[in-house]
Formats: sequence, C-alpha cells, structure tokens
Amino acid sequence: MVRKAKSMFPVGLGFGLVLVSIGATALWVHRHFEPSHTATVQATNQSEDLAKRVTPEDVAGLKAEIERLKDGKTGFEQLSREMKSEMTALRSQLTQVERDQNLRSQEEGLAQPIADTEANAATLTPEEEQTRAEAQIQTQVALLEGTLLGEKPDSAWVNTAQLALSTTFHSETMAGVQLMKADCRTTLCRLELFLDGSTAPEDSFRKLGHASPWQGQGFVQIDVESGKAVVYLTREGYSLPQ
Amino acid sequence: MELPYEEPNSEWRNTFMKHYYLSTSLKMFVAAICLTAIGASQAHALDGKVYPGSMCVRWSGPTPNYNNSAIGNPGTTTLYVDCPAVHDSIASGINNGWVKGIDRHFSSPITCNLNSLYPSGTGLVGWWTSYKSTTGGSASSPVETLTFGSLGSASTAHYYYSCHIPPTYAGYTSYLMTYRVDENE
Repeated sequence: MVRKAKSMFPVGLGFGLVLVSIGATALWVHRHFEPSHTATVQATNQSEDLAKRVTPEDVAGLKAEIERLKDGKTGFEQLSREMKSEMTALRSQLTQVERDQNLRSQEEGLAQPIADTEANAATLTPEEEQTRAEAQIQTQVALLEGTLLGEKPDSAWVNTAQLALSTTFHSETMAGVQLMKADCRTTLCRLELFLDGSTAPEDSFRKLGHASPWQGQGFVQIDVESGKAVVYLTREGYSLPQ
Repeated sequence: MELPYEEPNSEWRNTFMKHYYLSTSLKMFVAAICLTAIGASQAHALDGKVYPGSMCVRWSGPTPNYNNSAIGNPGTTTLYVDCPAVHDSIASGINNGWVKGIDRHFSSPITCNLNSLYPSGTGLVGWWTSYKSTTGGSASSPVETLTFGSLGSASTAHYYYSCHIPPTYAGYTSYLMTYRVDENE
C-alpha cells in the first residue's frame, strides 16, 4: 500500500503541475487582451477629462498659434506671388526687347528678324541670308556708334591711347595700313584706316588683332574697293557692346 | 490649487502641424523643380562643341606633328595655326570658349585669340577677342586652359581660334590639345 502510494505521488505531482500551467496560461491570456481594452477606455476617459480641463485661455492660445502659422503660410505665398510677378515682368521685358529688335529691322527694311530659327534659315536663299547678315552688321555698327557717342572722353586715357595707336600704325608691322583718324572716349576707340592695297584684306584683319597697341576686343569693317576700313577697339579689360 | 499646464488637444495640433509641414515641403519641392527646369532651359540656350587640336590648320611656320589628335610644333620656330569651329546656330554670336594646351617652352607661350569673320559683298567684316597666353614653360608643365568670353558675329560668319604654338625646347614639344566654342542659341 505504501509502495503504491509512493508510486502515485509523482503522477499526482505531475498532474498538479499541468493544472497549474494551464491556469497560468489562461490568466496570462486574459491579462494580455484585457489591458488593451482597459487602455482604450482609459484613453477615452483621459480625453474626456482633458476636454473638460481645457480652459478658454488654452483655446485662445491655440487660436493665436494657428493664426501665426497661417501668417507664415501667407508670407510664403506672398513671396511666391512676388517671384512669379517678377518672372512675368522679366519675360515681358525680354519679349519687348525682341519685338523692338524685330521692329527696327523691319523699319530699316534690311532683313528678317534676327531671332529666326534654323528651320527658317534653311529656307532662305543665299541673297536673303546675305541681306540678314548685312542687317546684323548694320545693327552692330549702330550699337558701337551709339556707345561711342554716349561716352564722355577720359582725357588721361585718350591721350595715352591715341599716342599708342599712332606709334603702332607707324610701325613696320602695320605697313600698308594708314591711320587716318582716331577717336577714343572712355572704353572705346573708333579708328578710320586706309589700306593702300599692298596687303590683302585678310592679312590686314590678322594684323589688326595681333598688332593692336593694347589687348582689347575689336570689330572691323573693310571696304576693299575704296580701301577704307573702320575699326572699333575696346579699352583693355572691356568688351564690345552686343 | 493650480493644475499643471497641459498642451490643449495636442493630438489635433500634431496632426495640423504634420499637414502644414507636408504642405510646405510639397510647395518647396515644386518650387525647386520649377527653378531647376528654368536653370536647365537657360543652360540649353548654349550650343557648345569640343574639337581636337588636330583640326587646327597651319598657315605659317614649320610642319606640325599630331599626337593623340593634339597638334604639336616639332620645329625650331613658332607654328601659326587657325582652328575652325562650326557655326550652326542662327542666332549669331559666341557666348564663350576655351583652348587647352601644354606649353613646354621656357619663355614662349601658346597664344590664342578667337575670331569671327564675314566676307561681305564689298570686303571683310570681323570681330576678334584679345589674345590669351599660357604661363607654363617646363617639361612637366600641366595642361593649361585659355578662356574666352563672348564675341559678336553675323549669321553667316565663320569662327576660328588663331593660335601660336612655340617651338620645341630641350627636345620637348608644345601641343594644342583641344578647343571649344559655345554659341548663343
């Protein structure tokens, strides 16, 4: 009997342990799901409590903050609008410049508008192409003349520049090219030259660029028949107006 | 008794702020896209091409040599070359350009200017820039870049660099390697 009781004890203990395990699991499962529901209820209660605790000052403060944020947004939108209007103004100015340029070309009856496309160019005859190129050159000359006449002479530079020009055109390098007249202002000189025909015009062009008394940009128009040439030479460090 | 301060309805506020920041970020992103597009359209207003030095043509001086499509002067006197560039933009004028070369002469530099020439009905019309020179002068001189600004032109004028390449010095040859012209479009 004692022996039978001894053999039953581990079985009973094992059975008890299993029961305890099942109970513990059931309790864990219950707690695992129950808290979320409890938390929801608690959160709802807290929200209701919070709503009850919100004072008029808090609401006013919140409204003021919203207004401040709206103002910031309005400022950004205003800046954006200003930028858009400036871009529109710039675009219209550009259009106006192009229109003026085209109008001038048409008034002078010299050529098509300068901003033609390549497709249009392909349809031009050689004569039309030449007419357009000549018109561009006339525009360039008018721009250079206008710039020169608009400048007041810088007497210090004028004297130095004219002396340097005189020296250069009397040198051996410029043989065949005579300086007839030089008119220097502030950033630009206009030179009238005479080519005696002993030098080819293309060689004279090369000489003008290479043997200038100072390093500036230049523009030249050579008339082979008359031997006359007009040069516009910028002061060192300046560019030709375009 | 005074209660401690609590953020009123902070959940709603957070949602509002989140939407506000998202909206602002979206607008800034759109603005950035627009600015990038404008910048890209500006950049496309130029038509640039790069040419090898071997396209240069001698007009005076010794016979050149060519090495990896660069043009060099193996002679004992200065080599004068013209380096043509394609004029395919109808809107006339050059926006900018450059020439790259290796100057291995101790005292005589590589010198270039940019020209535009139009044979008119009665003569010639031309534009030119000032000359630019390298500063090198030894066997180990690096590649130097001469930069040029804008230049006027006519629609059927042609473009070219006019360059001087110094003679060899102590057995070392100077080269004009590459050049570029960016036309206005």
